[in-house]
Amino acid sequence: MENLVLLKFFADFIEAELGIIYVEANYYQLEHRLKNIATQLGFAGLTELHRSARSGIAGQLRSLLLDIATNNETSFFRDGAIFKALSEAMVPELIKAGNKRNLQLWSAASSAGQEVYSIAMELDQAKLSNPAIPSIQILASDVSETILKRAESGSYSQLEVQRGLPARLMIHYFDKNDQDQWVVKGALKNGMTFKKLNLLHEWRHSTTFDIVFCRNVLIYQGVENKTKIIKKIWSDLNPGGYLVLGAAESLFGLSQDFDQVVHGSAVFYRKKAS
Amino acid sequence: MRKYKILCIDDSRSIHAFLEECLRPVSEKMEHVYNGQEAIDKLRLDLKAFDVIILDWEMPVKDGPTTFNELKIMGLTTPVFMLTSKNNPSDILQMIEAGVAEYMMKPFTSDIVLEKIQLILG
Repeated sequence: MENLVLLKFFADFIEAELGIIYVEANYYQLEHRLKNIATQLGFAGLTELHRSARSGIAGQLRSLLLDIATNNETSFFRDGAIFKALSEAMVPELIKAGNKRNLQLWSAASSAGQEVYSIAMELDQAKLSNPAIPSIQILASDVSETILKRAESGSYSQLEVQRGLPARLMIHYFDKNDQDQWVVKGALKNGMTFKKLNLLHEWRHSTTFDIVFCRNVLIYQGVENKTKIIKKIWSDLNPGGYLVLGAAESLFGLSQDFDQVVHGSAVFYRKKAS
Repeated sequence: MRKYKILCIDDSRSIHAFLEECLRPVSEKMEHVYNGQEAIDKLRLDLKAFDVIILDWEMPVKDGPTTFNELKIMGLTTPVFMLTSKNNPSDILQMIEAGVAEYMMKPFTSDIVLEKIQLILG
């Protein structure tokens, strides 16, 4: 019972910060992760971690709590059809609509970077058969500073690099270092920037975007937060720009401001003209 | 889920056992041989007997690259997946250029090998 009060305290903090709801059925998972944090920070146990947190959650504790609440499990070319849709439908449509300058793309929950590097590889490969594809500027953002640093390093273990990434592309775009880590070659990072950003907080970008990937974020949010995030992304999109959600997510009941587009087995959304 | 006839060529019995287990969802049947020469002898009887071949690099009697080249000369068109502990980029490139369908490095997990087979074979 005492543990329940303590776990609820941390669950409430995570919900307030990230909108991610830990239901009681998943408290065992939260407890396991909090115990790891306690050990990492040198506390004797959960009670001591809780005592310290009650006097304020800041610095490393705050950062670690935000990290454990986000699911960073991902792979390269996750839900592969959407990457084909990017190079075969979204980008060619944007070019056809007269957008010949640099395209601006935002990966709003970039996690450890597999998504942004998959986007960059897909478009670089597509250029071989369609030289009209312009340069792409990609903003990668995530709420977790730790995971964002990993994304920026572009360094993956042998297991990670094999998840979803064909060996042909791995050899072309990655170098293997002495620690058996596979590191993204510099050229693939051209035009990429990395920025910490909480989608539930206010944000301001220096540009608007042609395409926004916001995959597997809404699934963890309540309706109010989903609507809020979608509305803010809508205002960051150029007219006719595209929004990409996770394969299990949709805008149904959340927004009337987009048209649904289907390409192959991929579904995505186009901002309606206002 | 579509099922495939799989030939596994590896000198390690534990790899055979692991692949048997992890490829069960996509395996119509799996046959096992323990070096390249055994594979060539088996495929000489029927070059189209399998939908996919999993091939180790380092084996006694005949290694993976030699086996792959001889099978190509025999006219093999079945997709071949290398599964090996050799992880040098030059080795990987050599086999990709030789024409293997995919290259997987040990250690690996069951989901990686399953995903790659489904991806290539559709």
